[in-house]
Amino acid sequence: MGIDMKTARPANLGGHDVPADRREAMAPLIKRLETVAGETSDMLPFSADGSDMQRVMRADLAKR
Amino acid sequence: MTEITDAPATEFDEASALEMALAIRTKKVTSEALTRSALARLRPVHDACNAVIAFEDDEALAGAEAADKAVAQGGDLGPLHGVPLAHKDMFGRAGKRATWGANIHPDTPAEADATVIARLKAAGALQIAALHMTEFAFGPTGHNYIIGHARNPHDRALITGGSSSGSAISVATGVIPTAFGSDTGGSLRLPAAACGIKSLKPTWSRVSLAGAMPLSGLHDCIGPLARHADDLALVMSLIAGPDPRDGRAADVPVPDFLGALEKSPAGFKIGIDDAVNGQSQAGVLARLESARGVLRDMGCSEHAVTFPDWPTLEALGQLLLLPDVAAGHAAFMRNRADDYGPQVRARIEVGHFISAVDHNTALRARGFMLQKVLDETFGACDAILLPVFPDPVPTIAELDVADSQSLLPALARITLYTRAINYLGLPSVTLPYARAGDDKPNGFQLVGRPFREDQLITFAKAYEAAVPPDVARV
Repeated sequence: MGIDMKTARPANLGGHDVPADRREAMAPLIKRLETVAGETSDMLPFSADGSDMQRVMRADLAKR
Repeated sequence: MTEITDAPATEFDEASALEMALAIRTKKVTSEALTRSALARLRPVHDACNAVIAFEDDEALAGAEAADKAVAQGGDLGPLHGVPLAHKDMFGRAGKRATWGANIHPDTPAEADATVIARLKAAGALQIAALHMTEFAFGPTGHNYIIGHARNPHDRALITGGSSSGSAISVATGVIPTAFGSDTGGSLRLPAAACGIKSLKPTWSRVSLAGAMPLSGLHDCIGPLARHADDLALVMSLIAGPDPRDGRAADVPVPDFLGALEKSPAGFKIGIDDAVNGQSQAGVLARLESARGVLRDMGCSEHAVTFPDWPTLEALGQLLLLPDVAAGHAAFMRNRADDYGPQVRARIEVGHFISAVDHNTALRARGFMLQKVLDETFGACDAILLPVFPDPVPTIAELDVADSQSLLPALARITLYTRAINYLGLPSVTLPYARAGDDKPNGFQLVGRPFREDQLITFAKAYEAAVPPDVARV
């Protein structure tokens, strides 16, 4: 099973080769994570931001 | 170099840190007697379980002598004055080089103590050793192909859980009352459960990470492992709060954690998602049911809840974590890949194969998903009940899979109930199941609302009345 690459990915990490058997082993996980990322981006508001979590945490604390 | 191999026991050897400090302050025991006893008991524990990376007898004894002198002179003494502790070897300490449980270490000794170490030192605590950890804190089992695997003090065939393995061993065996660990994907909760003790993973950003080995700053949390709820409260009261050295440390009010010990959890609402919990083995569910009975007896009410989509939360956690870890290790992987153990290297490699877009999607979704979980899952609940391990604690042998094809599925099963909580940034207290006869240790977690570690401490203290701490005899 190969990895369906959306972008170029480094089988060679600048001197460290990731052996084919380990690339094969991780392929199902990578595929599943790509699917989840795609589904998640479909439902996210355009304004979603990495800093939202801290705002949400503080707001929940303030309510209690 | 001094090696303490024998010392008289004291009546406070297995007391909580809170009780030890009081006994030292009131001259019922000396810091030196407690420290000698702890050092003497640590050696056989290490021989049996591989708990220690470095013994620090001379420094510990010098610190104890100074602590006893200060007691004799009177004056203000810190809340941990003279108490012997030890921690996972991932914290910077001035003049020392932490090993990170790895072949790759810091280039130079630390210039300053990590903030959490400095705060315990300021409270008077001593450090008697640097403790075992999974290589780079990146593994949930206690396996370490560089310094040897950690062994469970209750049953040497079992894993300790990781990555805070040495801390869990040392606390579970009663050598020390409490120790620091860290939790990026379960590294406080899994060792606590596997070794039959408690831990408190704080809300992400509640505790400064300054000076600690980073694994993923987006997830890392430092917190205590302990046998007694009192010590979870005491340590949290010392380390929580903002820190000028760490811009991430949240500037939000720090509750009265010690006061939380005096409160009752009666009336607290506990959410239970039967579908999520139902992914556990039947034996684990039976033990979880027993814990639910204790919580009901404490006056807590149960409420059926539903997580939006547990596999999605879990996957988003990996999308955020793996590239972050890979980025941190990118230079080492380019130049020193052969210095890694096989499991950690294989897991770091995965992060290189996740696109930046997908990683950032997980980051952008974090607040959205947390809001959804707070609104739709927690609702009015104070905490959500989850297992820690979905299965009985596994053996070292069955997970000794190096970098084989079974590694990733095996570790995914171990962390089924932990990684999603790191993604959401929520606090979690781990408590041991009651044990009878030949029962092996295991534990469950109560996941709290953001920054409500005080409620989790209230739960832990009340639970302890029904399920008292015990000590693993090695």
